[in-house]
Amino acid sequence: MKKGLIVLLGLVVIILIVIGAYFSMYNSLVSKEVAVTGAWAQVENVLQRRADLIPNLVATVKGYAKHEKDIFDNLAKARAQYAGAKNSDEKLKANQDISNMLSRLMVIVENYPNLKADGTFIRLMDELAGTENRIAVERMKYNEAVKDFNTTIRTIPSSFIANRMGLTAKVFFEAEQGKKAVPNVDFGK
Amino acid sequence: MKNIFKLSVILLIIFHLNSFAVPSKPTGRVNDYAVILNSETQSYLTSVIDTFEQKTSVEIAVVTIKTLDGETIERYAYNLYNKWGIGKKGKNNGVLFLVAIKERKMRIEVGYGLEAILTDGLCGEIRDKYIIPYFKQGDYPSGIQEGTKAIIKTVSDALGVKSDIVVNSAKKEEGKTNEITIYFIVFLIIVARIILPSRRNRGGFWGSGGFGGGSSSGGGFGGGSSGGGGASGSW
Repeated sequence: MKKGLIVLLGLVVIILIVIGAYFSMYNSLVSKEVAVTGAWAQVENVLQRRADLIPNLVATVKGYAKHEKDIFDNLAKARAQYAGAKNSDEKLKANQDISNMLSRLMVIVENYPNLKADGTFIRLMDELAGTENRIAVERMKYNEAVKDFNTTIRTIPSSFIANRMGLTAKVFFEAEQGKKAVPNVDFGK
Repeated sequence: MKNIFKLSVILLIIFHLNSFAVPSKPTGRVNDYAVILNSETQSYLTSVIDTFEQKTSVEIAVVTIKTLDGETIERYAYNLYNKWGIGKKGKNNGVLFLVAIKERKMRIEVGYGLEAILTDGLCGEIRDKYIIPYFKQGDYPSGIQEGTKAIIKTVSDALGVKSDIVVNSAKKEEGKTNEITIYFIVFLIIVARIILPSRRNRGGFWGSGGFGGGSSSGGGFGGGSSGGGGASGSW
């Protein structure tokens, strides 16, 4: 009789351990997924910050380069597209357009040395550089969250639970194509 | 089997250490790894930073390094800032002033909590007015000193905290000669007091010993974080 009781107790303990492990893995997966969405929200935050800099930038450059109408129109268009983007994919695409237009603006600015020496312009370039840096930081943090999540859903034993929960791997935020939009502020030149 | 395991653990540790180019532990608020600041400048900076920290809880770290070793200054500063955890935890009120000598690059990295005060544009102004002009003359100590003072003055003003710091930009030559005159007069007064005999019975001049214990806990920072805000520059 006693032996049967011990075996029964042992089974109960094992079942409790398994249930506990299941709960903790489930919760861990949920936290990691929330971490990814949270990190993405931060990425969109800083992308928005960059989009918000564009009007001031355009106004300052216009003061010296009135005739470069195309780039101003293109920037305004890219910014409007970003504002109108309905989901993350659209936002990313619009963001790539903004990056491309900003690169072009930097090339144009090279032709206006007075503009480059303008105090307001220099401040805006610092703000833009700071924003680009923030984007790099948030992208890195986002990718770390994605890596953590993707690894967890694929490694055993959490992979079993992940499958049951229907979790799929998240997409990394790839580095943008093309050159960096902002030149370093270099007083050596 | 055991030996292979031990070896792989050692190799893993070595690889992990190599991936961390930043120094792992600060020696204090001022860390002159590039050895370009004399001890007076370091003491002065430390005392100014400590006083400021006592008044406002803002943590400022000044770091000079010989080389970035292939890293960008932005990446290096971000890693260093967050590894050391500059600024109080939760408040994230920290500033890192980093200077890399070989690559001739500097950066002011600002913690989350100070981004509203030390905006990227403002950091750029401090850089352009008080740091780069000195650096271009080859005067690293002045650039670092005045840059740090400018940071302290800016934050003090924004927080409404009284500060008697006066920041000197490289162009003002008249200011410097006035300072020297004042120091000379004070020096004469001190010398006069030493020479005149009436203090003997109090024996007081050298009496009190210690310079006041350091308020920074042997190098540790408060655990704050940054998000990449600030400004970089080169010369």
